[in-house]
Amino acid sequence: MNDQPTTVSETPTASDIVAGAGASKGALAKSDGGRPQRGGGMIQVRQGTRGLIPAGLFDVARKVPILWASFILGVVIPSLGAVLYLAFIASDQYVAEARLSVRAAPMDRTPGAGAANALAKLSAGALPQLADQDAHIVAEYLRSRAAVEDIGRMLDLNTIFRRPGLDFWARLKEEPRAEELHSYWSKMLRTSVDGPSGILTISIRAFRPEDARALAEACVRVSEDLVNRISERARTDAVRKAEEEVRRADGLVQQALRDLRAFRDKEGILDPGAAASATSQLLLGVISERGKLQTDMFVMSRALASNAPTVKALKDRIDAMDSQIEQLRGELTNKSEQARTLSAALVRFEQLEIQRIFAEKLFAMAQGGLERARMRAQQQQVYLTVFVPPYLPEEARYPERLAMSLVIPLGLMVLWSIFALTGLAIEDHLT
Amino acid sequence: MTREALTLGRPSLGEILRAQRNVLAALILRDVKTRFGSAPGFLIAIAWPLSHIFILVGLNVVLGRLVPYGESAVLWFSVSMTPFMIASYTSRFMVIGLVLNRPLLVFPIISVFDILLSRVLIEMIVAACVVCCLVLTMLCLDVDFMPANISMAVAALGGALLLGVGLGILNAIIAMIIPQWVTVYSLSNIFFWMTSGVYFIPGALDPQIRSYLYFHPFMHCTEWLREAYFGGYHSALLDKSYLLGWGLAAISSGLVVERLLRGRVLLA
Repeated sequence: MNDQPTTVSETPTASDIVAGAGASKGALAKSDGGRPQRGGGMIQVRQGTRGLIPAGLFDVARKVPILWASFILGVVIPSLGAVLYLAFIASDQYVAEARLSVRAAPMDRTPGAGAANALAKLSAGALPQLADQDAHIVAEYLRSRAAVEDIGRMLDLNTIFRRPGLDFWARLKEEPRAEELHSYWSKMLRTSVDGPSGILTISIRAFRPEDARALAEACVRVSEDLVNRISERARTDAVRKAEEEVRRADGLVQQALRDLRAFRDKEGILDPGAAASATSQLLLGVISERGKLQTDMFVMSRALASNAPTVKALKDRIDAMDSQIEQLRGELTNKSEQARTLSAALVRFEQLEIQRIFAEKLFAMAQGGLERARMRAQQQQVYLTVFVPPYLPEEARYPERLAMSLVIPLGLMVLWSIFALTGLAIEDHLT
Repeated sequence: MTREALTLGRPSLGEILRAQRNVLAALILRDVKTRFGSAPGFLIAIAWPLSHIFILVGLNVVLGRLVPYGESAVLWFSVSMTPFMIASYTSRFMVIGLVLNRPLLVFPIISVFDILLSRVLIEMIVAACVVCCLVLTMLCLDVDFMPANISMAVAALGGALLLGVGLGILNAIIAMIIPQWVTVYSLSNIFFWMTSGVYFIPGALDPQIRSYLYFHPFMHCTEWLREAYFGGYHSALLDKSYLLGWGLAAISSGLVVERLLRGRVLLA
């Protein structure tokens, strides 16, 4: 603090240039009377304030020392501090980088959907495509607190970012709270998703090369876990629905088969249709046989007496056949009092049969659906491909000593010049 | 008064500030009363950018353009356009203001800096009014206008204003040297508008184009407010320090050029 006035007084020429340039131009444009008076004031002040702190900030007479003081305080000292810090104190920071791409197997490529997709793309303009959505999810996750906690389970972040000998500014503060650790983490982590390609770049800074690589590897591992979780979930969700459907259809089939068996057990026929056709065939045979016998009997009754034994026997046979025909007819249709006839059984059987066929069709469909769902789930699977694995950094990329040593003074100069020129412009009203 | 102060000795800080305030007040009052002929006509100053935003938002909503983020097209387009409009209108009106008020420089007490500062204050008020009107409109349209991050949204608007002020000062000084610059700058704003990322998402572009677009200061305004508004929006290009650097460097260089050229060109 004591050096400050001497620095000011040692370089009066420079200060004259800085303040004098503006003052002389202003004086040229406006009043001529102001300049000599002002110059006189400046000299006076320089003698008067030696070793003193300037009293009024905007005092015209003390303008130059104040300008210099503000320049030294606002630009030179902070810049010097920053440069010294960067040169001697700042710890090296190593960057490990990994590049991944989150790939989804291509979606259904039916021609209709393709055309619709193309249309949607056209109308949406340059919107981000679905492809890099998953990459965004991974990036978002890595920036989140959940990722910090997941990685914290693999590596001890508190020791990695607080190794002994690290500089006070860049290291993690002692006993950080979860939020502080998270904000520190997001400072050290850079993620970027390349728009069209969906390539995710993770770069992480740490104070030792091995740490940087270990952190990057941990990042890749937790990302992989996340992606696997996502695709697992998508797969199970899609397939579970279809599986439920198959189970339900299977139950229907079983029920239909059970009903059918119960019916068969009860009726004692395997297939009423076959049974009916057998009966009707039998009936047909009997009828034709009877017709033949009747013809025979007609012929014989002409030749023989009506009570001849042959004719009688024929008649008996015809009678027997008649009753057989009657019985067979009754079996087929409900002319007789028999409650359960073949035709009724056929109707019931057909109902059951239709139920069975229907249930089987449903089952086949459900199975097809399950197959499709499995295929789609396979297609929806998201993979994480690490095509640039984390490497061991050998050179410290941060802090950017040279660049920052230039940028910080420059930025401070800009800020100071705005304030200084504003102050000078306000003061100009009194020249 | 100033002469008095000088002859009597050193003027106090209060006197200097009072003089500055008087000059500013006079300039602002004059501007408000004369810019569009009358005091109520000043409302046009607000209506101009506002109607610009309204028309463009309405056009895009009616055309049914798809909205990539959020649920409301009105909100998306308003959020995209407002930062650019604030920056662009602020800078352009500062340029025009300095050119229009140039005759006042004949008075020794009024400097280029005063005119610019009065314009900055006016444009800040205008910008605040525009934002308020937009918020009111959204309220009427039943659009949820609350940003995901309010402080960040305010900072984004502040960044847009800072860029506007910086470009305004720098271009106004250039316009004092080259009178045709007013037209050049106004026309180049159309180019800035088209490339500022209002109608597209810079992050979705080709890396090659992105690397060029990064240097576009207006683009950072747009992206900043979008990021503040839409929680899921992460800009691949947003660099706040770059935007602030632009604004501050423009202000600084404008002031430096003004001081260096004072008395040579400005009053010619």
